Amino acid sequence: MNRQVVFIVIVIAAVFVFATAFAQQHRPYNQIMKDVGATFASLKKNLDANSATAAAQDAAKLEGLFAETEAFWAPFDTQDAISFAKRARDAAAAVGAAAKGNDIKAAQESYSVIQKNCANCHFSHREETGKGFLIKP
Amino acid sequence: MRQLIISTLILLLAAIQLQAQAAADSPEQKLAEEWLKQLNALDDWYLSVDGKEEGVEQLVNSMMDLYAPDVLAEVPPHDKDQIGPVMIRGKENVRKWVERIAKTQVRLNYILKRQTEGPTGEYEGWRLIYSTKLPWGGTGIAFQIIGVWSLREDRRRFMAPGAVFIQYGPDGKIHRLRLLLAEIDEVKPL
Repeated sequence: MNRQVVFIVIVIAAVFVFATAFAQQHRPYNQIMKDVGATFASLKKNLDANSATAAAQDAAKLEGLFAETEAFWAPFDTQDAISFAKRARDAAAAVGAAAKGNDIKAAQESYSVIQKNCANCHFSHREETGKGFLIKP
Repeated sequence: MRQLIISTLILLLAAIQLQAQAAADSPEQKLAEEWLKQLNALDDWYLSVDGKEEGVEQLVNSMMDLYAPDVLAEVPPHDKDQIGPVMIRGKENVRKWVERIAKTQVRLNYILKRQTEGPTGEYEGWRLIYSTKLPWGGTGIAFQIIGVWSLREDRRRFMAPGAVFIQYGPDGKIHRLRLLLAEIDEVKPL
């Protein structure tokens, strides 16, 4: 009986460890940023065209992408980058909420907040090499 | 006569230039420049796209090549609970201090203070290195610096005037280091 309990505990622990390890894996950062760039451009286009539904979809996608960005920085204790990602995620959520309420003006304002946080983060953590970008710690 | 005067002036200027060059290229000057170069390079590493710290180990190794195994270093407090300077004994412990700088500070910019002869010439002119031969062999150098750095975690930027005293053994390695930083001030935008 005791052996069975120990075996079950070990199996559960192993599943937990694998699940945690899987959850901690994230996509390469350049892929996340490329997706942010494309989605951000699409969001702008949809907001300018007053396409609230499409804009809300873009905002939801951005929210997820900024969560990924935040997860990338979390292990490094680089607080400013984590905060930029968090504020951008919150702003994307605000864009989504405003777009769903068909308030394009409010959505545009929150869009600017995303833009500002992107620019601030790039200023501190992105280095242009001429052949691509490097991520500064 | 005019040609003679012009030629003399040209020769004089060339001599001054050569003397200046010799001072700039002195072994002591090179030692100071090299130490600062290695210190400032400690933030010159990157994160890979999959979140790995790349290049930090090489930079720390490169800095540590300058030190002797029995090095004694007195450095400014680098712990929130530490008030006075810290005495570090041995290369391995100095390595921990260097690693800490590499991993917690960014935009490192330690510069040699310049000076001209005049009373206010503190921002241009010569980068003076004071040096002496040590009675037990080797060379001691000292120079004034201005240290500027940002904290990696929140990008807060700091600046401090300071001085560096380094004793090199006959082996060319650093046996003693004293880094003094006074009046550490946070640099804030107006």
